Amino acid sequence: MRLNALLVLALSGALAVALACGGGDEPTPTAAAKAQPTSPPQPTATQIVIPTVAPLVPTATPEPAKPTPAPTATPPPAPVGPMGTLNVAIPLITPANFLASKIPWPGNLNLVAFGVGEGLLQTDYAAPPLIGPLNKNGIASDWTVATDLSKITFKIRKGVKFHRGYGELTAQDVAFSFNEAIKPGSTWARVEMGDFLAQAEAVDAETLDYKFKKWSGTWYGWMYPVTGAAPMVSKKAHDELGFDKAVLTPVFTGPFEVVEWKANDKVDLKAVAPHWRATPKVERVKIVEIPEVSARLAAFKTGEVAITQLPNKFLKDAVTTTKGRIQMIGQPASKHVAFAGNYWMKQHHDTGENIFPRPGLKPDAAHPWIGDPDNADRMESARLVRQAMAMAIDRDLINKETQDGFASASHTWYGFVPQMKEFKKEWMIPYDPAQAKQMLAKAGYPNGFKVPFYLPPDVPAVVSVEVGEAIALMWKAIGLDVTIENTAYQARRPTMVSRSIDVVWMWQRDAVGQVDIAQSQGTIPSAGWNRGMEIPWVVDLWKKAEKENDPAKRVSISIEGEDLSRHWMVVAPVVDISNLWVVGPQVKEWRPYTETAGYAGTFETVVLGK
Amino acid sequence: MSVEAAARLPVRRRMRANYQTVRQVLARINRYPVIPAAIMTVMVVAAVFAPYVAPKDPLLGSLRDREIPPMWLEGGRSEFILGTDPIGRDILSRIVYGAQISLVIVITVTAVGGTVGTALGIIAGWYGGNADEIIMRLVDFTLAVPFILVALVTVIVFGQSFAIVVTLMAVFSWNGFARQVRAEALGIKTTDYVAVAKVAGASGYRIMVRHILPGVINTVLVVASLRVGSLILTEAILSFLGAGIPKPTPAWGVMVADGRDYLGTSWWIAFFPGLAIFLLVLASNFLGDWLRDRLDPRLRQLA
Amino acid sequence: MDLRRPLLPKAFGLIKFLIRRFISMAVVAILVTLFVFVLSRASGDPRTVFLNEYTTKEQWEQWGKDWGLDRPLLMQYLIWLGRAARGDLGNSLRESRPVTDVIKERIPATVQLAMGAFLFAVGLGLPLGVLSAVKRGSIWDYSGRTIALFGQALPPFWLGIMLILVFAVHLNWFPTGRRGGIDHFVLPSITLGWLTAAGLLRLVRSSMLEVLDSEYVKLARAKGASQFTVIWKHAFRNALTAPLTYTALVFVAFLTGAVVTETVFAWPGLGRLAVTSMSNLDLPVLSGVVFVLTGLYVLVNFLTDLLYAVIDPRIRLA
Repeated sequence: MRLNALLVLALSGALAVALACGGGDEPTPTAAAKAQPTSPPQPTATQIVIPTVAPLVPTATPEPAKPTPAPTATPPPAPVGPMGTLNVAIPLITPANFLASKIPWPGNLNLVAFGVGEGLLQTDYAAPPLIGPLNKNGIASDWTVATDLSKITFKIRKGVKFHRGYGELTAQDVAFSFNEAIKPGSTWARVEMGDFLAQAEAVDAETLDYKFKKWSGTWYGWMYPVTGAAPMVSKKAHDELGFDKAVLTPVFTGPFEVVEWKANDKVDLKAVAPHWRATPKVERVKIVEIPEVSARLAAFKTGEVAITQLPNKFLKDAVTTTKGRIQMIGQPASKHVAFAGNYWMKQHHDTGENIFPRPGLKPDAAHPWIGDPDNADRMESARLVRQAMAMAIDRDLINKETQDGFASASHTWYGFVPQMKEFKKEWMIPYDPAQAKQMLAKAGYPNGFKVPFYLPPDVPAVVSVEVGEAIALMWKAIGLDVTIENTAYQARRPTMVSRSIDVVWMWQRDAVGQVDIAQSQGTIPSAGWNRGMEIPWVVDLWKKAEKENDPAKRVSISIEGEDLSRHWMVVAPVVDISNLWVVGPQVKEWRPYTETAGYAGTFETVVLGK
Repeated sequence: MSVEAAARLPVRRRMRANYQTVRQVLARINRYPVIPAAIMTVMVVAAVFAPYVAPKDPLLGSLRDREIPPMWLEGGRSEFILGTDPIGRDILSRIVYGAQISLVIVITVTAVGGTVGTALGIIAGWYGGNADEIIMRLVDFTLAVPFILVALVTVIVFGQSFAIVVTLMAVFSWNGFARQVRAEALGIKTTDYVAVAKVAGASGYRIMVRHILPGVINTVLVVASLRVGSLILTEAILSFLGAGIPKPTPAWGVMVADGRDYLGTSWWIAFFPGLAIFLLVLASNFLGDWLRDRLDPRLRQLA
Repeated sequence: MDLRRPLLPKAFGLIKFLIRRFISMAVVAILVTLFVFVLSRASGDPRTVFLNEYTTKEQWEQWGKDWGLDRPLLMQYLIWLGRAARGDLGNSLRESRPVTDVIKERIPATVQLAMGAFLFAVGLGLPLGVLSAVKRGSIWDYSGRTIALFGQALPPFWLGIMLILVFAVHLNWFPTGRRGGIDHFVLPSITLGWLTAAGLLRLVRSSMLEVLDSEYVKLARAKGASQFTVIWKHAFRNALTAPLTYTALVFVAFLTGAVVTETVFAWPGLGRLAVTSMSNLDLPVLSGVVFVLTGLYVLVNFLTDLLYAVIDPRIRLA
């Protein structure tokens, strides 16, 4: 058993190494890879570190390397066009809207991930870490940042064709795509781009000026294929069809074109061959929506679908039955308990207007986890309550039992992982129910209290209801009376936006292993969406970091934040769950973008066959 | 006609001899609904004495005990007779407590809906005219409403709770009572007995309570007993769709919904709670039919 | 039919009756849509679904204006009702296209499912009901009644899930869900239709029993008609009235009750559309679906009344 585990560890290490070097086929274990377990120099938080996840179960025992065929005199065979149909099952297919101003979350992720739409820039395939090297293979072949940070000038490539015969892409189309996404009334998921982008202007057919209102250090986030770039759309199509029809007509530049797209049903894609960037190796991709886990598992086992997403518990069963393999999509996300209602800020940090008290601030007997910024005793008792509830959670057990070991315990808010040099031991939250009970008593609740625990049931990529129920069990064990609320997330979302949510609930922090102080977004007054807390020191640190460009200094600000976060525990991290998908043996090769939200795609890299 | 009468009818002369005995036995059993009554009794006892009947706490469990198969299967343990759910809670205990929930809801909804429906039915039947029109329109209204959708929207607005579930179900269950009671009341209204009372100067209220009400009791009982099954099913469906009693209270419908992810691996999580629903509804339908045959066979068309 | 009495007053009475029924049903339908409209608006402001960081106040107001949310609730309803009567159900907030298009796309799935369930219900319930009645007291009768009782006790979601478990997951005879070829219809049709099959069985049985006992049939028998003629020509036809109206109502119940079946089998029909529109706060779609369902209910009820009134003159006078 041990030997197998080691072999597997070595294999995955080798795989990671090989892929990082841009390789392709399944590598055989090399001597260098076997030496992997000895620790390399400790990474620092300025880099991106994907925390070690349980070894990814491989297919059956690795086959011995096939002998390379002897070179023959016959001429190489003619290049073969895209072949075969790839079947994929995902939990949700979003509406068939194809202009950014009508694409709210999570629709923005699917379009680009599937390979239908393309952003302005590209990164290498399967290149962890997430913010990898931008390459110059995208629609923009080069760019220059103005020295005064007022704009970026992009050189637009020639020869990029739109689907459905709408001609070649020019800088005018690019400008239109960006401006359309941020126009008034837009519901685009990443519309915050408009806070930084003033206007995109086409200087000529091959040059685009991306003009800033306000400089953003992470400007590329809206342009490259992960986390939902603004897809490039055809201005001509929009002008010809009119807005209403254009919204329903998919005219993009990606390796696949849309044959059929039905919300909550299916998506049918056809390869664009030849494609200017990446001609797909499969002819068709058929994506179906299967919300039910058992149905997806069954479909995968019978071979009905070749690629699908499953909760971690079912991975081993799926791959051993089909002799498939597991594919990690993106960095893990830290699932945490959020203690909503802690709106402690008095003034909006940007406008200065009075925002106190928020409707959700209810420091009363029914909400022991909510602190009152005007009452030091209450702040302390609420703090003890939150600490107790955080300590009552057995993270390793949750990982082992609900995630089959494929996750890891999560301890930090700002994204630090134990492998990092800067990680402090005291940040680790101990599992100590006895002490938790004592803390509750000290806080004034020796007999516990009622906990309304909100677990959105319809966003499985973000909230695992099972993990939540396991946590509820553990809270019961320290004497709390937990009731689980299961309102749909979208229906509950208004309360987050309006700062009236006051219950204990679960959400996530993306991109574990990437210490990025910008992740405070969901905790500050200026953000539209908020997870139920507005914390003064979070805002202070965030503002400090805004002006700081030196990565090492930004990390030390985050360290400060982590210390405070550990003390106040307004958020209790639980487990880091990575997005693992299963791939059947029909798929010989697949190199997906690593994408935090777990929306897999990049089907242009799929090669079918044994 | 009643089952006994049917058994006594001169059916076919030519009966195969070996069916004679079977028929006799069946006829005997059919006289009294033994099995359904037994099932019902077991469920009710379990519900009432849940803390004593259930081997374990329905809300507590250990993650380490998750997804254990039923006792008689490989990997099963004797402390978890029907196995455990994904977070380690004993399924049998949860089913026992779930019986409590189902029965409490049924009793409450029947009491509320039955009272309101009977009252409205008597009023509609006795007064006729506008009151009748209005009440019948209300009945039509409640029948035209797509119940499940309304229930789901209500839960979104008001949240999940026992009170919401009971109110929703009561609002949409009184119509059956009202209709049948009204029909019955119309019949009673025309009897000499009532005519005499009217002549003697009895007030409407007095007549309704003293004369009509006793006459419709049989109908009410039959309707109530026939509806028990559908009430249990409705509660289960609401729970299944997430509009019923909030977790972690072990409503049977919720348990089946929880088990959906595990069909291929731990099928018992969804199977046994559903089986419990099935058995209880079967028993109550059977008993309801039997009661109706006994008390008022004219209501046969309610099938 | 007695030709000696004048036909015209008869027809006139029929029409008056039908008009009265239609109006009352229409009133009910309006009330239902109003009820759901108000309730669903209370569940939240749909604008918040799209709210992001940096949504400005102007944007908020603009959305409000675009979607007609800035008017008082009753006004909103009346506007909606007026448009709905003309066939304009507004635009889906989530899919940015007319609600009628969205519904049109989903209706076939639900209608097909309802038809499949209907076929199953009739195919199972009708013959078994007749058999049960004709061979009363026999093992057929007993089995028939048992099947009916079982059918009415099975929770539909459990039935669906167990069918999936046995026939799709383990035996792999049928797919686990979604819409597709004939094999995709089998399990969902059984799930949706079973309850109706049971009810139909019992209704047909009791109807047949009554008729078989009637004077009319006794006379036919006494006259020496064969068993077959008695059953099919005389008993069956007359026994059909109640079951006929039952099935008509049931068809509509299918459309509304398909929510559970569609959820279990991930069927892209109206039921699931209603549920997803609820959780996405896509209120125009929700109101639209309720409008369609209630409209269908009124229509079917009306047709049933018409049918009944033509068949049975006594009803008209009730």
